[in-house]
Amino acid sequence: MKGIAKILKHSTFTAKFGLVIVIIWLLCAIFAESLAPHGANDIDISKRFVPPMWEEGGSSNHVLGTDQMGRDVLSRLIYGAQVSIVVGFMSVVVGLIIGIVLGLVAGYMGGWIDSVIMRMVDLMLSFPFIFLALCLVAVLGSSLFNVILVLGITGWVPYARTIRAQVLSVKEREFVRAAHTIGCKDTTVLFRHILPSVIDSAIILGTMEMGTSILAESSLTFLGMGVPPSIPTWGNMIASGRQYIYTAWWLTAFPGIALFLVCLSINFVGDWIRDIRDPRLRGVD
Amino acid sequence: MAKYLLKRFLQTVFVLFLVATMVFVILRTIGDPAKLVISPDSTFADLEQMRRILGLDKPLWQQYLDYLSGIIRGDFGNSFYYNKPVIDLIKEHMPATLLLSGVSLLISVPLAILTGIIAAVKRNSLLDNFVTGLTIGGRSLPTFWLGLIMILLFSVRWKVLPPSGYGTAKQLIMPVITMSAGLGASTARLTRSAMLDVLRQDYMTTAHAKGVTNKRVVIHHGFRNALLSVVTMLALQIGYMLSGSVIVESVFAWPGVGRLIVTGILDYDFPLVQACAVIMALMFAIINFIVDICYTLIDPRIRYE
Repeated sequence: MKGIAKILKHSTFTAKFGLVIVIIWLLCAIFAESLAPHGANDIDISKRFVPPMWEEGGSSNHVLGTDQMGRDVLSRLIYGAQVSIVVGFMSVVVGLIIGIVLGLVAGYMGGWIDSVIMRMVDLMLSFPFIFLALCLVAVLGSSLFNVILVLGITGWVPYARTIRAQVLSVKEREFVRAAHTIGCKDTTVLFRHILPSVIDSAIILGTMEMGTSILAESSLTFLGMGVPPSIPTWGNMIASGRQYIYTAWWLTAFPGIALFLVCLSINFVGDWIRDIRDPRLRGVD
Repeated sequence: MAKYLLKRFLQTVFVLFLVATMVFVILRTIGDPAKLVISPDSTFADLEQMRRILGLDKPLWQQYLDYLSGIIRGDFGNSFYYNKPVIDLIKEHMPATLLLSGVSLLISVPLAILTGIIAAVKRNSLLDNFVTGLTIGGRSLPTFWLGLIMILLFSVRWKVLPPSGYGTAKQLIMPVITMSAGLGASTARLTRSAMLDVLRQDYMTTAHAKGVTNKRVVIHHGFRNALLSVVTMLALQIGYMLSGSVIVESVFAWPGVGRLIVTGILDYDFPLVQACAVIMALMFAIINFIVDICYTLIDPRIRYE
């Protein structure tokens, strides 16, 4: 506990800011039921397009106003935090698993296996991400699970490249040769000796990519190929709010601010974690 | 050099083949587009006939071979939805996309490189912190939301810019800013870190010690060496720009290839989507090739044998 306090004391303002927002975000997601003043899908046609409370005609019952079906915007934002966490975290996990396995195999085995995996990387890079994601969602159908899967499938490339590059240098080190010499199997060497020494960077990269994943989910949803409209996500709220942009600005503005703040904070926290784990990189990137 | 060119050419052809195959496989699992093209009250015979017209009654391997040989001849077939050659559709929509991406590149890249250099040279200054903040902000900002907020402010509230459309210079302003924001942020960030790497090198100290002017050290000794990683990243960025255009064009109803792709996927328009994929991959390959050639111009140590 003391150690954490000490680290926090020496962290930058941005790191503290990021941590606060991330914690608020997590709390919103965990306690959405008790925090949200209304249900996410409580429709009240008599209260459509109520503006935020500080605008003319607003009420303190709906702090950030209501949407075209009279649903409370603040409550939907709070419930939206749940989806964004699930999507951000799970899609990074899927991407990490694929990326780590492929990167390890490519770096360790070398030869034609390496060539095949690197050609796959080329293939993924020669394709605009959003295009592949749209096609895959069209094939699989739009659901929360499929969006996570698609973001994972399209997101493994950076992890695979990082891991591969590190494996290439680590596998020449003494401890790996020693492991070979005492007769360890390839899988043992790979997962017990090499993996622990290369996994750090991929996980740090993963924290940074969480923000990107959340943005990607909202972009897909915005284009109509993401999470189905029945689930309150920030992307969904922006997409439906767009139709009323001339009359109800709050429907577009607030979910976007939430998205921006959360992604910004994830980036701040990611930078901070990287600085702690690897002080050499501080301020360079 | 000739050997290298040949190798690159073969590699490109191989990647294009993979892309074409992948899209074919993905699209064939989507569903039956004939059902989507015909009207709901048609009979089963109509459906069969539509399948014949669209060429979907042939065995899958024959469709695949027809498709591949078509690509080689530059013929991507007819769009199911628009009922005209796909290649014509792409030709119609390409100028809008090229205009948008071109103007965005021309504005954002020089500006971003300049700010990146200054931020690196004057490290930890107010400007540096500002640039760092801006680049992290740019990375966290949803592109489509930035576009919508600009529409909200400039079109709805202040009524100074048209919210959508294509043709006049005024209509170009908001799409270009939206497109440039992300690109500029990452380019500035990368230039800054590449410059910081170079500034640490011994030859920079030597140049200073020789009495070379500060400006000359930064530009000739510093930036020239940082340029290599900037150009590499830029090539990838242009690829991401194609992604960006899909979103920006959807927000501003910009009649470009990006929107064509989205509508193509939503309408299950196989030939259109296939053609877009192959052409995008081809553009990407060409950009990468140009970049590789640029390397030899930037850095005389690099030679392709």
